[in-house]
Amino acid sequence: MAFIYLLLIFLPMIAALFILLINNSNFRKAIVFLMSAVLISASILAISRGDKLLGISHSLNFALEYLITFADYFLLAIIFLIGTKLKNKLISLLAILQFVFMFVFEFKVGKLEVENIFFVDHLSFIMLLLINIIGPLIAIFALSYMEEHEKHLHLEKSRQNIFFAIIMLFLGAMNGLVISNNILWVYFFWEITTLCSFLLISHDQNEESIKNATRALLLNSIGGLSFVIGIIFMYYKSGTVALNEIISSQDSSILMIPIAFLVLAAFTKSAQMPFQSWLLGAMVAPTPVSALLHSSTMVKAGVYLVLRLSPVFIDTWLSKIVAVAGAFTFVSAALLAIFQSNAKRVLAYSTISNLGLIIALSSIANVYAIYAAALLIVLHGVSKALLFLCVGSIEQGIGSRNIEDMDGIKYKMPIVAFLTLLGSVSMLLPPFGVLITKWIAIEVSTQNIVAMLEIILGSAFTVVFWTKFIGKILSDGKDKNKIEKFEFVKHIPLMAISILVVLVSIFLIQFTNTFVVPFFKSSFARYSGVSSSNIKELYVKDFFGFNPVVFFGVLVAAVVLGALIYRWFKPKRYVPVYMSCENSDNFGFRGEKDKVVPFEFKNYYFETLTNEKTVTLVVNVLSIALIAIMFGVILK
Amino acid sequence: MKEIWITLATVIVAPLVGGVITGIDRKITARMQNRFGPPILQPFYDLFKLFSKETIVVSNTQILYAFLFLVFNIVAVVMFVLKMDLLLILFILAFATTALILGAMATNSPYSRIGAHRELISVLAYEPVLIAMIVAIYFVTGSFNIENILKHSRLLILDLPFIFIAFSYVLTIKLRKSPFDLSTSHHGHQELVKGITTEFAGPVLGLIELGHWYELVLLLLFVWLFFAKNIFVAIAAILICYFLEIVIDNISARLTWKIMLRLTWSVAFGFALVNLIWVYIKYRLL
Repeated sequence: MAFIYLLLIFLPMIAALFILLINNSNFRKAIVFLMSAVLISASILAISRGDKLLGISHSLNFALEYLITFADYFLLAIIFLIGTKLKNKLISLLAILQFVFMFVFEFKVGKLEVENIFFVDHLSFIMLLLINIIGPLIAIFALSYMEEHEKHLHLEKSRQNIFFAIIMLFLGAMNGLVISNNILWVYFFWEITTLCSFLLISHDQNEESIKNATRALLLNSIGGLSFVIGIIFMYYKSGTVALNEIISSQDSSILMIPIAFLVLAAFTKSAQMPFQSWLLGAMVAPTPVSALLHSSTMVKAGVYLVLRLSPVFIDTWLSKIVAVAGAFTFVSAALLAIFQSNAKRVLAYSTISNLGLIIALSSIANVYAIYAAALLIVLHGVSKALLFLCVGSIEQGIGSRNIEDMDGIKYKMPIVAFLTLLGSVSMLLPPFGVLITKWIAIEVSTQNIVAMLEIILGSAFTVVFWTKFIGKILSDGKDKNKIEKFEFVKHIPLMAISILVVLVSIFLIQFTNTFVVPFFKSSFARYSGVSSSNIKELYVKDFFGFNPVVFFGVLVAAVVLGALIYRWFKPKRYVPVYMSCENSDNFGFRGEKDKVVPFEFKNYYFETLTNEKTVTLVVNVLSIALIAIMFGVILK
Repeated sequence: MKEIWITLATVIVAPLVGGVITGIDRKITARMQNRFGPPILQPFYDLFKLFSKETIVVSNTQILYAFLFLVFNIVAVVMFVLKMDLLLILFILAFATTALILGAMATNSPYSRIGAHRELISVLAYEPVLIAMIVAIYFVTGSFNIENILKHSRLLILDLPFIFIAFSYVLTIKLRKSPFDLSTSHHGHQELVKGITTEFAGPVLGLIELGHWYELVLLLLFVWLFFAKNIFVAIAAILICYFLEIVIDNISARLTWKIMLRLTWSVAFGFALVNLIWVYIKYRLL
């Protein structure tokens, strides 16, 4: 049985090795398609086996322990070398510190036996689904994207083998991260994702990408160090490194120090304020990388860790501060998104914002908050994957990722424009699930008034930047020539993801009952009332009276009705826009001597009010203060 | 079954009420300006005329947005009358506005796009205050559900006077009245040329007008909520509140969006916040 889990981790890694060694486009395609099929079926198979706390044969366990310990040191050595090569002493120093701490720790306590090396519960299932369905779809999309990308770069020798190898390695590491029981293993996979993201961001090997990749590596190394300190404290406070034992620990108050360090590590990985800059810098990488980092890998590792640990620290002062910090990221990233005209940056800030909300929800002591946190991980994952891939396609189509250049995109690239619309609508409007999670967030955060005020403001900001974005995608443009051609490898993954976006929202209740409720029941057994309550009592019929199926029904009815009304209102005449009767056409007016003066209208970005730099400075200071408070609270 | 009848009645009655109030509004406004003013039923004549006109559009999708604006507003009013979740009603109301904004942005018209963006800024201004209002109501009554809120034994206004002031403040923005009629203007010659609705005409504009009436009724229902224990006080409050809006509309000139944003975020949100904190302490901590 353990075989499937080992497969999920190591098969992509082996595939990565093959892709790296054999730099042949057809071979690569075959492997990517094959691995996609394998990963999807393996993850579904793993899920069908149910919750598992699983050990493997003693000798294999022994071998794996050594392998991973060795690989861990090897990994840190690589990061150290990268640090020296980049002439970034801080990265090298952080790598050395991690190395030394880890080494001394493992030397002192000897061998840390964890009998059950796999801890697979319903939260792992949710993550496995996200990683192994969205991940491969992005990889398939990347096949066509990277060909085009390399054409633009005029490379002599294709570097796609490196690119796809890292992606496969990344997926394997993510699988390992979410099913490992030994927190040392989690740390190992955590570090692999750090390294992978560094390599992917710096893929184009130009000055900017290397600079931004360096920043990503630096900030994530801080997280890595924090993780190591967290593990060491965890061992000395609880006497175990097994996740399942930690989260069922009865006495949570003594675990506050390790939890705080692990949460800090999660903050760096999930690009919470003040660590957001690495994720924004990651935008220079090819679009599939952004899609992967933002949806199914990397940043989700951070929120996964917080949600995983939340049974331990929920309902403590620490959790209240973490909720405030998460909600602070939610509001400030949403505010920063308003100033952006670069589509990818809007999406990046929106991701950061949503991750903040997930962290806030994970640390609010309420059943629905935990449900919403788990749901938002999935809902955000599918929608963001779609949006990034769409924006990437638009960028390749029109040569710009600026929202202001997307006038008339609905004529130029109808398929992608429609899917972008779907993605952004799903992040904002009913009946899609993201709205429901925001709604739950406000309703449950009433016990934490600071977090609640932040969520209220953030919710208003969210409406503003999404509406601007959606409005632009739908707006008219002068150039109405279609430039989009249907490409199988490119459009099929896009469509598959959009179907998932719709399906997840339609079956939100069923999804909650199948995956989220059992996770809550098993993980939060310690939490008052849960252990005794029947699982049926925890099931949801609707969310405070909101049933997505009913809502989708109403929507379909409205569309039918709308179509009927449209027949009635069918426009008889099309007119140019109102320009005081001085139009030449829709895009210019007659000025002096009937000379045509073209006009254009841009979105408001509030430049006259303030700017991104000022706001960033303020929120960075405030968020550092919050983290200081977080550590202040735990030290007695 | 009962719900269906209530829904039907609401869908029919709400626009009648909204239209009449709009008519009275125009009459009073005219008197304040020393004009005789149109008959009270004028808004209905206007609406029928709009619907009898030829459908003229710049872009096909405009019809969809106008329709959505109407539908979302109807849904919000019906949900209120069926005593459902306040927060969800507020979200639905926000989507009505979103639909209108998208409709205005769908064309390349500078006037309507400026109107759309100003409407967006208005959302930024009033949305936090409205949500804060609902959360404050939750702190007092322990529920987001109107059904349970109405079971509260005291007049809500007694606990939430500052919230009510803040709400009246943003009501001016929501009703698009001076000094905050930034996104649209009542007179064609002003610099905005009807702003957000510039490019809508005929029956499509009619849909939006109708939507506005539902919106108006919903906003007045929010006023009612503060006084729900006593129907006469509630009606008096609504009348006074709306009359004040008309007075303010007539005695003030339009302010810029920056001033609006600054004022709502400091004064209105400040008022709401103070009240929110005290009810939080009173009902949650004590």
